[in-house]
Amino acid sequence: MTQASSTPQPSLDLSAFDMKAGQFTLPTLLIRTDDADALDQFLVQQVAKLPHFFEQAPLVIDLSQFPSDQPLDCFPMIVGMIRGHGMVPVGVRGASQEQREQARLLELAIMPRLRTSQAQKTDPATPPVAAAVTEQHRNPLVVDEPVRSGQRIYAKGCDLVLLAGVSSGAEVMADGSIHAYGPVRGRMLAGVRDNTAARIFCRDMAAELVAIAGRYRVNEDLPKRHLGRSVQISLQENALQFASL
Amino acid sequence: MARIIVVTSGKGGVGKTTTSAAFAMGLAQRGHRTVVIDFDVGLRNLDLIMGCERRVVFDFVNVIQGEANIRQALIKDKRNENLFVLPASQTRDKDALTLEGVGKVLEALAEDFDFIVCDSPAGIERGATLAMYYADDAIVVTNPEVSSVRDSDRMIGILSSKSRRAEQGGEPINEYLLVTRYSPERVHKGEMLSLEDVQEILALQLIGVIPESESVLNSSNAGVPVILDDGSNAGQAYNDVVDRYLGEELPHRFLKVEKKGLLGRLFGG
Repeated sequence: MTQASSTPQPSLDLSAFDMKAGQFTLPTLLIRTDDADALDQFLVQQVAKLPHFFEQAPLVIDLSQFPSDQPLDCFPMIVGMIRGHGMVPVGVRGASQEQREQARLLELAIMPRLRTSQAQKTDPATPPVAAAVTEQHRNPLVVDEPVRSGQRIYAKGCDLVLLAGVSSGAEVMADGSIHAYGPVRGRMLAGVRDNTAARIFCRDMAAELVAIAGRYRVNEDLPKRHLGRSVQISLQENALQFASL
Repeated sequence: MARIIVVTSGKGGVGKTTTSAAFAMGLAQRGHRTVVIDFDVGLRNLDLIMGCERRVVFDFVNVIQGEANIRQALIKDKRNENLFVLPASQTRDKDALTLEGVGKVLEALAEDFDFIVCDSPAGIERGATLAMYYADDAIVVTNPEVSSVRDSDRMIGILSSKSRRAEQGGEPINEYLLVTRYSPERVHKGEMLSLEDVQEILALQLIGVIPESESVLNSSNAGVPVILDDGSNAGQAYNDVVDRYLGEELPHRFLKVEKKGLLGRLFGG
């Protein structure tokens, strides 16, 4: 460390910089075993589902469910493998003391611990990352203001309750069911992570598109008798069923 | 190989989408396979003007990002089997459009279509520059009004410098002037720029003059391209525009104040 010089330095312009709190939604890769071949296969599948989403996408590696008594010798190889699939691992979460040291050597950040925040309002949003839907009960996301054209709402891991309307050009999605009490003129997608048991309950149906677990119908193909009325939509044997409420 | 036409203006609200819909329908009516693309990501309205807003599943951004293929996104027009619409996304923003992505989609469409009409958004930012980058022809839509003329002038400058043809030193884009919302009465009263005034400032080949007409609003409310309303002056004027584009020489109509006879003044119309 050199001593600070005694001659005064010309003042530097620091106003060109700003340190702010950023907020990002990051895909998280949960690793429970160090079986590299299996992980490679898993990543191939994930990228195949959403290729452009994962290209140069930041990723957090979650080690909280990795058995703490097992050494993670191939951690550097795993990080390299993830990079090979185009993703950019930026940090680890739930790491043990040794794993943190490994992360430091690999220049990965230590991410803050997991919080049980259940739902997100995103505008604009990135598509949801496919992962197992957990069984635990979660309270619905309740939206009491109109959803405007171009906005997207995603109720992650729970149902969505809409107390005001959904404008044409807006998109509302839920892992669970959607309950809409206001007029819906936009898109409604329930059960987005292949939850075929999800339903849509809508008091004033004029949606541009309705979908449950990926099976969809556009407005033109909705049964005319339900337009402007209360309707329940469910999925039975891969087909959308409409019933008056 | 398809001919790519951009409908642009600079100024907003002058009639780009109205023109794109009418022009594309006109080409399709004359037997050409035509696709019209909405480049206004986040503020889409081509689907409304074309009357297909209830059939949109996938959009231009979905195709660029590989979430859907072109076949899934193209909407076939119900009135004419030669006409297809590629709608814009309403939930994404302009950054989702990339030069390379747009280029690939246009290349794929060029194999199956005779004409690709690109409905540009207003402004001179990304959406507008991407809409015109790959164009062979440009229709510059202008109202006979000072700010529209100035914005069109700016847009013409950009067409000659920021298009692919300009960058690669190829033959420049064919530029055409389309004057819309023209009212001979107001020109006569001195309230509106005359066609001559506009042409003097912009110095572009005139492809047509569309008169101010109630039928434009009626058609857009009904989701019908105004060219299909052949009883209206605007509809007829658009038909002339398409014919001129395809090589016919036609005199410009609806430029003079109509002299109403006694009966006309009694009964209006």
